[in-house]
Amino acid sequence: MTNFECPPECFSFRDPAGGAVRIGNGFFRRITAAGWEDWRKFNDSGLAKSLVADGLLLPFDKAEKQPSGDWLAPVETLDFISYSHEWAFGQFRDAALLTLELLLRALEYGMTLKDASSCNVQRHRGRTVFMDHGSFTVYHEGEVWAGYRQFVAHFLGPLLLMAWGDRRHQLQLRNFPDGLPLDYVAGALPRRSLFSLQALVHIYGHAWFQHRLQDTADLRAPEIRPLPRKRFQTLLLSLRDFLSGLKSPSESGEWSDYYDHTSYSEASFLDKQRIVRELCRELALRRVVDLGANTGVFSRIAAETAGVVIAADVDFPAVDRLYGQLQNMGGGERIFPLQQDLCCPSPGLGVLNRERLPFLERARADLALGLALVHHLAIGCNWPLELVGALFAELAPAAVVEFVPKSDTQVKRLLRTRPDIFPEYGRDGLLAAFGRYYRRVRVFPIAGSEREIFLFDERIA
Amino acid sequence: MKRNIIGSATVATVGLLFFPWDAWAYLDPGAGSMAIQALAAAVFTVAVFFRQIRNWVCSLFRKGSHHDKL
Repeated sequence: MTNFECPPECFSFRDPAGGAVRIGNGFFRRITAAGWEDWRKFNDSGLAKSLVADGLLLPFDKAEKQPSGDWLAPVETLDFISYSHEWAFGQFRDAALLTLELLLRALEYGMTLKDASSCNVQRHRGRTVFMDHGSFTVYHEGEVWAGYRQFVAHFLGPLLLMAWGDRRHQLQLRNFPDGLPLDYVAGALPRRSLFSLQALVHIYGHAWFQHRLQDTADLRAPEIRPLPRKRFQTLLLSLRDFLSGLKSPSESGEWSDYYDHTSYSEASFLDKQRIVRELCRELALRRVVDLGANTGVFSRIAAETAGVVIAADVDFPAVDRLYGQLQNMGGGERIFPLQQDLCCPSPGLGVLNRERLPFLERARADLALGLALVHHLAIGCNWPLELVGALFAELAPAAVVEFVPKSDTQVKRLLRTRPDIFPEYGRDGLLAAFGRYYRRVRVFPIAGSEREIFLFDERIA
Repeated sequence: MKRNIIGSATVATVGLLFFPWDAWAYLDPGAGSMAIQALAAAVFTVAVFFRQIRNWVCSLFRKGSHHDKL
C-alpha cells in the first residue's frame, strides 16, 4: 500500500488543449492556452451557438480566464453518466449518428472533430447530446480525419457486431475502453458482412491497412494521400445513411412478444402499479434506480414524480425496447435505460479504475426499486438474501421490494430443474435480511395475488 | 452532380498544392487509418455516383422522388 490518494475522477486528461473538470457540484470545460484558438473559433464562428440551439450540444456559458492561465466555461450538469457498453442499441446508434452530424456541421464552419470517442456523447433530458466542447478544432483543407479510427472502433465496429453478429459483443467494450480492435471486429463478424461495401471498406480494408502499416521499421511519418473536403463529406454522409438504417434483432421485431407473459392477473398488475405510484408520490423522490426494470413500466411510474430514473436490466432486448419506446412515444426525459447485470455490475475502468466509474457509485439514488427481482437473485443466482439487502442498502436509503413466494409460478419455474436448496427464501427470511440494513418496514399486499410489496427505509448507517 | 464532384475535386487538389495540411492530433490516428481514408472516400464517391445514375434511370420509369442510400 502507498499513501497516494487516488483522485476521485480522472475521466478527461488526454487532450493538452483542455478537458472536463468538476469543481464542487458544478462541471466546467477547461481550456488551456494550447486550445484557446480552437475554442475562440468554435464560439466566434457561430458553430457552438447553432449546435446548442438545435439541442445537439450540452449548453455552456462563457469561458472566464483563471489565475492559472486556463479558461473555465461552466457547462450544464448531466443527471447521469453512462458508458457505451451499457447502452441500448438505439442509444448507441443515435450517439454514432450525432457524432457524424456534428462533424458535418463543423465542416460547414471550417472546423472538424479531433476525436470520436463514445464518451463524448451522453443522454440528457431525453436527448442524445454531445458533451465534449473541446473536441472541435480548426479544419485544414485536405486533411484526413484524426478521429476516423476511433469512430470505427467506438461506434461502427461494435454496432455491426451487435446488429449482425451477437448482441452481447457490446460487453467487450468493458475490456476495450478505446473501442474494439478492428482485427477483433473483422474476425467476429459473420461472413455475410463481406457483401456490405461499408463493412468491406471500413472494417476489413481498414484492418488490412492497419496490419500492413503497423509493423514497419520505417520511423518516418507515412505518406498520406489528401482527403478533399467534398469527398470527406460524401464519406460521412454514406456512413450516416448506412448507420441510420442499421437495426438490432430486438428492434426488427424478433423479440416482440418476449415480455408479454406475466404470472398474475391484469387486476393484480394494476394494483401493483397503484402501490408503486402512491409510494413514489409519498416519498417525493429526486432520484430512483429501478433494478430489473424490464421494459420500464415502473420506471415510467417513478418518473411521474422523480427527477431522474435509472432503469437497469440485464436483458438486452428489454433495454432496447425501452429506449425505442421512449424515443417513439416520448415521456422519457427523466429515464435512463441501461443494460446492467447485477451479478457483475459495471466496475471502475480505465486509468486507476477511475476513468469510468462503477455502476454502484453512479446509480446511487433516494430509492431503489426491486420489483419481481429478488427471486431471480436469490434462487436464479444463489445470492444469500443478506447480499440482496446489501445491494439495495448500497444504492439507496429506501427500498421498494416485491416479495414473490415459492408458491408463485415464476419461482416454481426457477426451481423446476434444480433441488430447492433455499430454505432461507421466504417472507421472514427477506424481512430479517433487509432488517440488517433498514430499521423500518411497511407491507403492501398486492390484491388478488400472494405477492407483497415491502417499503424499507431508515437505512442503518 | 458529376460536374460538382469533378469541380470540387479539382479545386481541392489545386488548393492542396498551395496549402500544407497538418494531421496533428492529441490521439494517434494510426497510419493504416490515415492511409485508407482517401481510398474509402473515393470508393463511396463512386458508389454515390452510380447510385444516382440508377435512381435517375428508375425515375424515368416511375413517378416520385428517390432516396439516396448506400
